[in-house]
Amino acid sequence: MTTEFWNGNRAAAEAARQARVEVVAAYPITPQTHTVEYLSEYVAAGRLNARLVRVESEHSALSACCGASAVGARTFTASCSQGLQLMSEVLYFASGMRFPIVMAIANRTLSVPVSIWADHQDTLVNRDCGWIQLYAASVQEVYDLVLMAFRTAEDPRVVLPAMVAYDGFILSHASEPVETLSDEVVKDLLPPAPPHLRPLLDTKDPKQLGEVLFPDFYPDIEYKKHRALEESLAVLGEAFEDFRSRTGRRLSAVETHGCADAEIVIVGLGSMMQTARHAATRLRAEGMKVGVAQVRVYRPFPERELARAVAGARTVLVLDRDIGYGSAGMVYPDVTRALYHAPSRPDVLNFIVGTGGKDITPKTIERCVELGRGGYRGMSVFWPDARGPAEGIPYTPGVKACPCG
Amino acid sequence: MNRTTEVATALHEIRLVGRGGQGIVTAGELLGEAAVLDGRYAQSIPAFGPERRGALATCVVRMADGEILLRCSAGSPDVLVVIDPTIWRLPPVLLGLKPDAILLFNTTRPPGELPKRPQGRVGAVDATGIALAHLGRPIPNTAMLGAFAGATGLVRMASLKEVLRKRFPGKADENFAAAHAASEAIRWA
Repeated sequence: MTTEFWNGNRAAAEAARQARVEVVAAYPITPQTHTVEYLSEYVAAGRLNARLVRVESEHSALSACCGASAVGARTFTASCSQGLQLMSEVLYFASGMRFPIVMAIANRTLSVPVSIWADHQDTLVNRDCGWIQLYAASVQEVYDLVLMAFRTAEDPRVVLPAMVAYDGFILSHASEPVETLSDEVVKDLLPPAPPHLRPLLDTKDPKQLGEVLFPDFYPDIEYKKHRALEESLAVLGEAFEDFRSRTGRRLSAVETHGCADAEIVIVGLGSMMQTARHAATRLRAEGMKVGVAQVRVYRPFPERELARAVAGARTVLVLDRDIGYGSAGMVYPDVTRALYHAPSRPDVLNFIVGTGGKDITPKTIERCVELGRGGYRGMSVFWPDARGPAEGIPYTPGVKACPCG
Repeated sequence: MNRTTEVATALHEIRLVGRGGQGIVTAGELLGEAAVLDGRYAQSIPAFGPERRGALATCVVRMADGEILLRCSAGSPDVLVVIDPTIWRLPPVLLGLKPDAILLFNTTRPPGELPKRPQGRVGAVDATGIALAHLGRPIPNTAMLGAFAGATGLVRMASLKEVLRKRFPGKADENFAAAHAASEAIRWA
């Protein structure tokens, strides 16, 4: 095991290289582009024996990945934001035809207004397309989760595509120490793609995939796909355990810090959860019992793990780096559903933070705790870093908006 | 490297400022990697807009004795390194600096003319001139890293040499010569 100083895109690309991907088809988009550039360098240097398919759009990129996966190739792509939206139609094809494609996503806001910076809107609107969704909180996790994504996606009990999401710029372009595995260890973790029971295109045995299905049989197929995604949680758990035994690094669907005795637990996805841990440590020093539960596996949603993590809490603060316009943050309903039948149902409040890449600092987290510590008082969705609305920052012309800066 | 510490101790925050195309992101990566070679934990978070050559580019480098959990770019830097000689008047350059922050400027101006924090030190170094002398090109980022190491002692010159060797295999000696010269050419106010 050696320590490298990598950014998130490099970590994703190196993990894909070590996974010995055979086909990469992608279209450039900031802040993901480096990932595929690194892979093309590896191919040019002979470090990776893969076919790089240049395409004219993201729709074509994922379509090419589907074709490659249909003949059994280990397949990788990367995208985000508008690119991911353009793939949207094909996302459902990939999961419906059970292609275990892995996609790295450097999370980026959806336009307009145009923004190249991070929020989770792009992956969250695609949370229900039958893909596994994993969210990294550090560059190390980007590396580890890409490996886990291949392993789980290809497991015969799962056979579904997987996305590994990591915050654009905050992780994609930020460098930090990454403990890497040798190619041999990765080979043990990820043996050559096993010949699954899934139908593969073969000229000697011609067949057609993705056929019309009449209504009488449709629910059966939908149920199978849904169950396979649900069951991938246990398969991920096994993969995490095997990973821990080989590397010493612990991964879990929900990572908890200081939750055991916490009165307030902060829940959310991605890199902001590390900043939340930093803030929670400071708040604890002031006597406030704050815990942090980072949701690392978002689809399938680890509802039991989450309910366990917040079992003792009086108030749960769900931080969403996104907004489901006209409703609430998109992670919030998943959390309330998971806790509705919990024995001691806590108050669950929602905080929309860091959209469009707005900096999430320890002060942002402290502001959420300050607004939410009293529990539910007639309002469930707060915008602590937005100017104007009653639940946000009072708007004063000419005054810097964010008290968190 | 220690990953068990909950919150980093002895946290140092460094802001590198320059213009797009001057190697600000590279400088941040080199600095972070050098700190890791020293046995510390480090992160380098560049902050730039849609890539434009010549626009303001900043990079936050944090170094600590344990894992750093901060995932934000705003902060209160202990050290400011201004790599471009023409941007030091821009407000974001000096925003949020600690009262005792060390300020290092690439400039030919006398250090007394430069901004200063109440309890801090300010140093000037002609990094562009040094880069021209050693590299033949006006790329002052590696020289300014040398000035940083010399002024703060936060990374060892030997580690800087090592990361330069790794990053610029054909130009490592020239870059290190520039870094070394800059470390000895700081004029303090």
